[in-house]
Amino acid sequence: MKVPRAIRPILVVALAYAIVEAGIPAIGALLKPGTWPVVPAHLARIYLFFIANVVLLYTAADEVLWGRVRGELRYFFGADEVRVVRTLVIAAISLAGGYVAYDAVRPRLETPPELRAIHPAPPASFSIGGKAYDLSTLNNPLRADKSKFADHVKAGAELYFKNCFFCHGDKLDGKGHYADAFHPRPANFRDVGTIAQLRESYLFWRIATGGPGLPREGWPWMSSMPIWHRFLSETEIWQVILFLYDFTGQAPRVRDS
Amino acid sequence: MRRLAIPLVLLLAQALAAAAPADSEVGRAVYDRWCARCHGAEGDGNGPAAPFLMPRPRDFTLGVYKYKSTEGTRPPSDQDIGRMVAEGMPGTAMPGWKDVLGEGDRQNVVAYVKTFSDIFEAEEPGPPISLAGRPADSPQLVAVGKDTYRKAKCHECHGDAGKGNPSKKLKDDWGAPAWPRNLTRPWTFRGGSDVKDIYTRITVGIPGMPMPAFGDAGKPDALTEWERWSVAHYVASLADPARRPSPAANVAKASYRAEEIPADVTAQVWLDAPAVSFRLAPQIIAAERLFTPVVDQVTVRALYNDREVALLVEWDDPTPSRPGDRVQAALAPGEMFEDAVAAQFPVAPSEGPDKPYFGHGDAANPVNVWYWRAGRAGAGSAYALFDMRGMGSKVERDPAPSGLSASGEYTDGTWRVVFRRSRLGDTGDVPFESGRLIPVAFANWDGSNGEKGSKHTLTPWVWLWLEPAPSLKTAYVPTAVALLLAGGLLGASARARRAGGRREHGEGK
Repeated sequence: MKVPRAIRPILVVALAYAIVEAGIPAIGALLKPGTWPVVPAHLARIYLFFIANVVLLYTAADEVLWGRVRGELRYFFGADEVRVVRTLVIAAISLAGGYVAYDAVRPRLETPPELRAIHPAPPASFSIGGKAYDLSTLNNPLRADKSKFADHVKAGAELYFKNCFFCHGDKLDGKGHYADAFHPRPANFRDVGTIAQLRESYLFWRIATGGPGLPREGWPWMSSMPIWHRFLSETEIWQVILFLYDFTGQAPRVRDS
Repeated sequence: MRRLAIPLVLLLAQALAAAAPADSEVGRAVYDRWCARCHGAEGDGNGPAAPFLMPRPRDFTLGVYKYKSTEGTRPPSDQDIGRMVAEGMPGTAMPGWKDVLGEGDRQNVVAYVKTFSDIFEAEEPGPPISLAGRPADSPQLVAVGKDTYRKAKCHECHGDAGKGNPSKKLKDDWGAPAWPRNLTRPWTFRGGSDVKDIYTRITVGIPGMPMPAFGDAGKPDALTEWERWSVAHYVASLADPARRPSPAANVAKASYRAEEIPADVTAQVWLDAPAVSFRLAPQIIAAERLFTPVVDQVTVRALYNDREVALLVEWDDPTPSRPGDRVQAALAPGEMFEDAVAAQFPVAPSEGPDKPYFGHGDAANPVNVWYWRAGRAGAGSAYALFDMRGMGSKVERDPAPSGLSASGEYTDGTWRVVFRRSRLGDTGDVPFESGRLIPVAFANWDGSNGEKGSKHTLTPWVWLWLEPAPSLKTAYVPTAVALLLAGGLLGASARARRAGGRREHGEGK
């Protein structure tokens, strides 16, 4: 069966639409199984706008081709023998247009995107109860004496299971038994994107000052991380940090020398 | 050939692993790394985390396992223990371990856990109870189950509606308070929520807990196999999956109503209003903290009209706690305070991401707190309006100018509290505009669980959205577009036909 010239541009645009909506995510799924990376709606609209324009230009640029398209359209709109099909197509297009308009004006609910910085840049320094900490020079003091390392890790483990595991989990995977009641979700320390990317001084700052200590881009009003310096001593915080790295087998990021 | 080789090797390895006897010494290392912080290095359920947990971690030294499938008082099978290790226990701090521990490790740790008690040397695990008699689900069977539920006095602990509200004080064998399971929430069933899991619980009971075994033919309260299956099906029919909180569902939608909002919470408009459930976490952020909550979720519905907005906050609670109520006080493990609930709003909701700190706001961003409490027995409930600028900075304000009121009632294991306020409120009140997302957070105090003051449960910021009333725009814009399109296309058609007719005419000449 020969596809009429007037239908072809529509088919090409439909094919492009299918590629943008399903083809691109399918490639993503092949590269990384279990994912379905969709093209953002505004980007998809831009793609389709340009594709539709190019198709239209291509069709209209060749005079012979354009003549045929016009002929077919004239036949479709004018010939008596296609009257039933014509009426149906006009009805379908009108209803589809009505639906698109309805979709555009109906009251809809879109929760705002959460563009929160998970690991925002820390301040240069901060102070707790009058004691100032310079983050650029701060190091974990408990790493100096190797003979006490195991004791500190053990103490850190106990502290973790008395204070942190409710949210960050037995497995340090951020899936503690209250984790899904909080938003944003607690950090997963096993993930290579968290403590493995950060210096120990950064962890000290985040733990000691908690959610309210975050800068604005970290959305301090949402984080349920407690202000731990109110519950734990400085040494205890460093012990927990040692435990986090030791148990997960991650290494803290060190300053580039 | 090579394609077959890999699966064959894997199969062989699996067969070997299954055949190899579990090694309790290897299991010790697994246990010390992953389990000891809750269950204790000596297996006595007294690890450093244990005091902060309810239910408490299992004490392995007694050899009593709550969730087993073996007959009578015989010890559990390795499969029973292995299942809890692999799948975990929903609603408790015990996670499923199959993501970090392979089958071999899990078998080894089961072998090690068994060494804490000598019961496994003295007794063989009994045979698993038979599940072969499972009847097909039917409304008749559920009806029989409902009758059996009463006959077997299940309602005395689990409540008439299955919400887990007991009529007597319950303790486990270790002396800890035990609240009966809320049967409408199968996602919190520790030993699984399939009908056959429920049948297993009814048949062998929960050792160490007040839940008796109904399958012991010798006992006077024993039920026949058919009756137990019928109760299992009835219990499964009580499930209310729509109330399962989901982190993705974080918007309470208020529906518009032209008329008055009924005070009666059983009115059809309230039942038709969309409901959303939010998980409650205990307040473990600032002193004094609560670690062992009982009430773990709230369900919210909302309605509004031109004048008012109303929130219906519901939660299942094993006891209606009003100090002075001796019957309820007798059920509470400790001193009983009053049940209470609160809703919190930013005074000035911003269009951007900024909000007041979720823990009662901050100096620059105050919040309104609507507070309802059950009151003393006989005195009736009370409500209040607070302005807060951070924890502990409570300023009470007269609720009357804001048009704020609240009332609550407790039926069959569920509290239902309705807050109402005028849409505009008073100076310093959050305004309720339709079509706009307004942050809201909830807090709950379970008085029989010793919750009072900063010891309470809470949600983070979620949203309230007053769904705009149906407007003419949503009807006439689509109609106009459809008519324009139809008109344009029909017009084109008419022109084309006229032109075609002229051409034919012309050609005919």
